[in-house]
Amino acid sequence: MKLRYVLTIILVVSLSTPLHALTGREIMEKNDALPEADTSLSTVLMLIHKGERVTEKEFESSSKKYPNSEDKLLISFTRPTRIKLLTHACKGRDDDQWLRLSSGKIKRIASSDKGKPFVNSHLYYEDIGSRDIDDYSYTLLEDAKAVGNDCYAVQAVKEVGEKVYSKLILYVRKSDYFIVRIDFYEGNEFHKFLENHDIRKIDGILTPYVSTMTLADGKGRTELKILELEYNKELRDSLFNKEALR
Amino acid sequence: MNRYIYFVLKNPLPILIMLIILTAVLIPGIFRLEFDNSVESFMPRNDPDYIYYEELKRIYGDNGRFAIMALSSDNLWSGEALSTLDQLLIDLEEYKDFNEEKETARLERFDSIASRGEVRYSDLMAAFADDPPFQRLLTRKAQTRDNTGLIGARRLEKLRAGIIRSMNFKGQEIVDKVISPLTAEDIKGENDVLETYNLVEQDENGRRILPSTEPEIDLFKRRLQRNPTFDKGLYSRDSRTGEITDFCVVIKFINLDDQDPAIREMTEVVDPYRDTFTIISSGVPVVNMWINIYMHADMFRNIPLVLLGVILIFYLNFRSVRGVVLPFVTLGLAELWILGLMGYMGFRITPVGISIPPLMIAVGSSYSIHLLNQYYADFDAIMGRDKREGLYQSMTHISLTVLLAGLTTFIAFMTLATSQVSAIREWGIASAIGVMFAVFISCSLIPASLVLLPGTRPSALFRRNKAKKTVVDRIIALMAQGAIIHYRKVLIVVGILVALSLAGVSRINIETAFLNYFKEHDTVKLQAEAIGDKFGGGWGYDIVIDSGKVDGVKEPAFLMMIEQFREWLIADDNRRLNIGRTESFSDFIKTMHMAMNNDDIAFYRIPENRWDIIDYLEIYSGDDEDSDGRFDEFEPFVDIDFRYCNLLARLCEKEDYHVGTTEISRIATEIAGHLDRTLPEGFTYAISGFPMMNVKLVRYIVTGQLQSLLLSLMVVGLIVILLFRQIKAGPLALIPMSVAVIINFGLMGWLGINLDMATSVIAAITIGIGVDDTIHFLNTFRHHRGRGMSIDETIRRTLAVSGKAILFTSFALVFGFSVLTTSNFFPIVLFGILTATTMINTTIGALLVLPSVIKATGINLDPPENGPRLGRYLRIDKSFGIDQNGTTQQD
Repeated sequence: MKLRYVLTIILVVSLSTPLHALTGREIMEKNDALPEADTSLSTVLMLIHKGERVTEKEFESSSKKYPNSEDKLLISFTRPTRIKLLTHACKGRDDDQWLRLSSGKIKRIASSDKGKPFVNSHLYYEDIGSRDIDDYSYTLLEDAKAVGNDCYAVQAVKEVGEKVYSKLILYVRKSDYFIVRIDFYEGNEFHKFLENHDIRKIDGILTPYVSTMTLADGKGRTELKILELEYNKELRDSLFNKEALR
Repeated sequence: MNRYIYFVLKNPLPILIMLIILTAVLIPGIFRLEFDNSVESFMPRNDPDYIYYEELKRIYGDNGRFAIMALSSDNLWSGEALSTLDQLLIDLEEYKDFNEEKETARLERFDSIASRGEVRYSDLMAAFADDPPFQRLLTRKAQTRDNTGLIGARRLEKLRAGIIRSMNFKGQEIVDKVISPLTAEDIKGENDVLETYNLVEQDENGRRILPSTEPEIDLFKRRLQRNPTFDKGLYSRDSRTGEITDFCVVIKFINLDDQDPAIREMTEVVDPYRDTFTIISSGVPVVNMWINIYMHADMFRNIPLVLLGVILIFYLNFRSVRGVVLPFVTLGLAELWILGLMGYMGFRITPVGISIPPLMIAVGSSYSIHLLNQYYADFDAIMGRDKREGLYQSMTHISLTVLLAGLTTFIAFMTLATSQVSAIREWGIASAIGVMFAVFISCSLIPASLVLLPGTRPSALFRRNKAKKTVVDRIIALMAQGAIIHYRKVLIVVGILVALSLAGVSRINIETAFLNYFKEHDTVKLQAEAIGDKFGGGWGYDIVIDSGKVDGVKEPAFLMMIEQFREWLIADDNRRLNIGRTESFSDFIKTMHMAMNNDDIAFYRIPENRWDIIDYLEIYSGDDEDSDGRFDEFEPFVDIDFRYCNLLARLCEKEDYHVGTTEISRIATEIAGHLDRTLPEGFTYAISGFPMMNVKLVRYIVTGQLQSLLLSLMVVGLIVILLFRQIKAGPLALIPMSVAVIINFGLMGWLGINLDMATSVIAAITIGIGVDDTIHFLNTFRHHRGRGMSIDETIRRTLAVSGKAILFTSFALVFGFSVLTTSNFFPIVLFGILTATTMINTTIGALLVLPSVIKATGINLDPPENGPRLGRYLRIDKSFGIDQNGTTQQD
């Protein structure tokens, strides 16, 4: 079971109106049950806004579902760098992440570095990939409006592995249980938020074509725009091997 | 003026009450005065180098002005020492990240406790037992460790004011960064795991988990020594044993025009930790703070001493209480008035402005001595008739001359109000107004007091007149003899002295080495040397190299060139450059390269492959608080486009060798020469930073002072021409002052005294006293000459009347300012010596050289039938009540 929100494609199911008041966990289970692709292949444009400066980066993202929620994700930059980041989701513990530099050198990202910016963007290494629904505890908060939608607001606190964020507030669209916004807290501080826009249904899977991570103080944001996308294309397992990075 | 004197003599009591009221109104302004030796107060806003420096500060931060401390202890590697260091850092960090909610809660809690009226110190501490940093702040502010005493309502109020003051500093987040072994981050890549880590780990709330056991402390020690960048950056070693002896703590401030209040607050924070550590501190803000403290302390310690010296001479001259009290009150009030007014006007005491109090003493003494001298000279005539009428006759003539002298000085100083340098401009305005205050007070207080006081003749003065000639009389007789009989010899000797002095002037160094202000074994000096030795220096150049293109800094060839340049800067062969340490962006790349190669020290170098550098920058993990696209650690070193590389080169103070402005220029020239020869085509450079601004600052002050001196001389000459309605009177009037100035500078040249911020302000005193002496002499000369006396007789009479007052003034000030030679602060000592010399020079100029020139040239100061065309329209002589014969008009 996976709770996905960045760089991976989110599936949606049509839902019937609940007969009783849902708990936070139940809402997230409904989100987790949204249809998702076995594989995805996309080209993403990353726009990093810092001050008056905008830096463009482009990468290809490949992901593949594996049993026991141990999905794998490979991000390969095509410009301006040629870095690759391989993420192996691991049940019950922090994901493994390896970084491959243009020179071919490979380094594993230490858990303690999961809260560090990824390629100078407003995303952390922690934000890359997917998250296991069981890694968090959930509390339902008051309903809220987010990105123009009526939403359930669910507080999620990580219970497993390195805790980069003290809590997340997930805004789950009431109409389809799709997450449209996430607030990230570090300590007691509201640090940044992610919003999903231009949500399209591709092959039955709800997919945000634009995701924006914005700093709470308004000093910067990172936009992710999907340029190309293909679901359920055959992807070799070897593509996601650490050794294949070399 | 005559009418005013008449009014004063008619209404002495209201005049005195008015003086008291004005004093009461102006005194509170003194408490608003602040000291300011910031670059900004001296730099014209359109100076291109200053504009560039400000631009650099905007892009890279204020890198040249930081506080740097070396902390050592016998138990440096103990859990206790590390914990104490952590407490210090926590206290400092409160000024970096302001937590408004926390601070407000603290204050509210304090207020609720303080509302009881009085509180036991221990109870207050207990109330904040859960907040040790605030407990420490309270201890600092309460300045007590006596935990049994009661704190009364007044002390609580004071304590609250202290808390609010600190809160304001915290609110400004005055600290940009604290660099220390406990706050440093490093990046490592052992076992193929890339990890950015804090040398001291932190818990989830960001609190440091301090090493306390031996293995933990050993691990911390190893981490500290792993990265070569940290050597002399975070610690220093014993040169013999190689053991780490000191931790380095650097406090970098946000861009502040005036760092003085900030560094004082930081010093207050640091001081309690001196119980645990031996703390050596230096850096620009620290040295500047000590200069300010010394200047302040010396001003308040020495001015009373100078006044005491002056009073002693007053007493020896007049042998009467009024002869002491009246001049003393005059110059005291002039001092209080102008300082108070400066406070109200928002003027600051700058290194130039520091000359205002002594200037007031000089002119205040002079004006009051002239008035009193006239009083005693005319004593018999005054007492022989109606006292008020007698005083009127006596005071009108002399007060007019005082007004003339004062106005001339006023206009001369007021011309500086147009200066583009704010410190010079403010100095000109304040000095000019101060001089007029001195004129106003002396011409009000002395006649008003004399009319009220009983007309007792001082017995000593009486006896003295009856007895044989006094020293003053003999000197005056000698001067008269010299000017009338030996005037040729006098002029030849003066000519030779001037020639010798001019030769000396050519030897003058325009140089300010701030550390040379301190005496040989002064701790400020010793600490700066120690910081130079341990960490390579407490200030430095910003050397900006332009790669010529966006992302050019990321090119291996560029970074390798930077590395070669850094090696050249600190090479043994280039020790004359005095560069103790360099810091650059390349340090990060070298560290990353080492980390990416399993921490192999052999890879602590610039990689050959451009992609490596680009990738390292992509994966570098750091904060970007201001979100400008650069990690906070990179900000001092690169611009947002990675086109420019800012290399920081620390200047090292060594024992017996302190880097002054001449040296700073020389080193910069040598570095520029090297870069000109070695920098590949397409690259350009600029050398800037606080040391370079210091060179400019000193140049502005010194040249500003010299220009003001020349301008003042010209203005004085012009006024004298208009006053005497003769062109030749102008150059004549300038002779005493010019001779005094030339001899003064000549002496400095021959004695190797640098022309610096402190010594250049002597020019102002020279003008203040020189104008006074000259106007008194010339006006009295014309007064007597107009009565048909011969030149010889006129010189004799003039010297007998004005000369006495001039000599009294000179004696008083020479003695008074000589007291300054006991100061602990070298510039004050020099100031004392040079001011005393100036007094002697101007006195000799007015009493010997001026009459000798008059005698030699036969210059006639009688107003011509048809004066210069300009004079016909600008009859300022008439305005001042000087008639055709040079005598004052009487009502």
